[in-house]
Amino acid sequence: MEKLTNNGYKIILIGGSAGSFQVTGNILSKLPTNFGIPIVLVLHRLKHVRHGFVEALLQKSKLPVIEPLDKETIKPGKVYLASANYHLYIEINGRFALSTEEAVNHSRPAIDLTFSTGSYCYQQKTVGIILSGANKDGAAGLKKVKDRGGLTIVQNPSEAQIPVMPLAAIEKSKTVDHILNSEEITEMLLLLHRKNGGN
Amino acid sequence: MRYIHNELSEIGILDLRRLNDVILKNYDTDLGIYAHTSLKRKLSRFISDNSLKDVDNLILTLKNDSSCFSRLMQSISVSCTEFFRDPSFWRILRDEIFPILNRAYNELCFWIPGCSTGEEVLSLAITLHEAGLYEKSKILTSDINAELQIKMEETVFCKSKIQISEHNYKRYRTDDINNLSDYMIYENGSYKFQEFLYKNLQYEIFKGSDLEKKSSFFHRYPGIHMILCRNYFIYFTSQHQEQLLHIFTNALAKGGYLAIGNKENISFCEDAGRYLIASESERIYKKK
Repeated sequence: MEKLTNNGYKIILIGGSAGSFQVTGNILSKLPTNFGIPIVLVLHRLKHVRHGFVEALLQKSKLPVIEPLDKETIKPGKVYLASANYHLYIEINGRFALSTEEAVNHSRPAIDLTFSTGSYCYQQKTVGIILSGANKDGAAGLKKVKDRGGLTIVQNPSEAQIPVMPLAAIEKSKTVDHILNSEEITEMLLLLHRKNGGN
Repeated sequence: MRYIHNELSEIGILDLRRLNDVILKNYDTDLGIYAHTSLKRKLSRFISDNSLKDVDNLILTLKNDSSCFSRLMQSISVSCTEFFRDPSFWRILRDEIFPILNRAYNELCFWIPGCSTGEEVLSLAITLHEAGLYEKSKILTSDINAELQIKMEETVFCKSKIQISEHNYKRYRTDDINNLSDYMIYENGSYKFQEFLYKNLQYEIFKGSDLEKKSSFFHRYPGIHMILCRNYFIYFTSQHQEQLLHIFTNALAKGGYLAIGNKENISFCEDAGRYLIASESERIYKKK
């Protein structure tokens, strides 16, 4: 738990695929409206379904959930969902950038790219979380978060609906900071929030 | 199929600055107009694909070999797209925008900047053809990549891209009468589009930052009726986007349309005030 004393996390990156949607909704439903750390969700989704995802998450979340536009500034108190059919980058000026470059790990958005650019920008102030999923996207990205001194969390493979993604992330990073059930992930986020001066 | 790297070596800001200085000095091209992250990614990819080891090695090669520069610019300009991306956009074009343009003008002029491998160009050509408007239309395309453009008619597409695109096309058509493959010729394992779709295209080649040339290009084609630059601004800095939008806006006829990607934004640009919203969901703007 040593890393938790290193408070002041500036960004929370959450990646997931099949089986992660409900978990994400549950986590968001428990976060207070004054939750101060911006959250970026990269969830694999059907590329041709542009609408409905944000609306579904808004049913659960007390925080505003939006799909960021290109070059939008990242702000606390918001949940950002990566849009369908674009990669979502985080630029060093603290803004999002979109890209239609080719799919990575058969995915666009690719979790790896958001995690690697996000941790490049925020370094040890990054929290990376990998949830349920059926492919290995996110493993390399989470390792980047770890290498840069950020906090790494993986959903417990035995709880995950599809454990492939969590297992790949654990294997790639060798040691992640925490392997947690979804409720514990929520508690962890609330703890980070309190450490950041929230209540 | 080429292996897709997702663990490329990281290029630092200082590396980028040194590289840009050399390119500016030797080739009069400014990489500073490109959005940082995707540029870095494309450079890393280029370095790895050309077995160049690192940025220093690239700089050294660039100093001695101008063909390396054209290949580099080619790799920067190419972005992966698909035919009929966002089918709902093409439906609005067909059902709402084309009828207005058709009534208003005897000849139509479209411009697609950053045409890349031509997916957007061909999608437009097909949409125009099916609406019976291709014969009265001219499509101007431009990119920074000379080699790519000369060969546009020769471009072949792989099966996986065609499969994705075929799905898009079906969603656009909302019927099962036509297939995208009706417009293609299958040869040696890949697809080529029929020649007539390239008939009314006109290419222009720009250097990366050659805004002046872009401006003069439009003086030769006054009053463009529609500019399709979907997912084009995302590859540039906000400052360059502002400059580009200014050129585009001046190039458009009064009442002409501008289409940008569905997650792109022009509201921070000064010229945004010169437009009305024609379609909120598809990000189509009409010049006042």
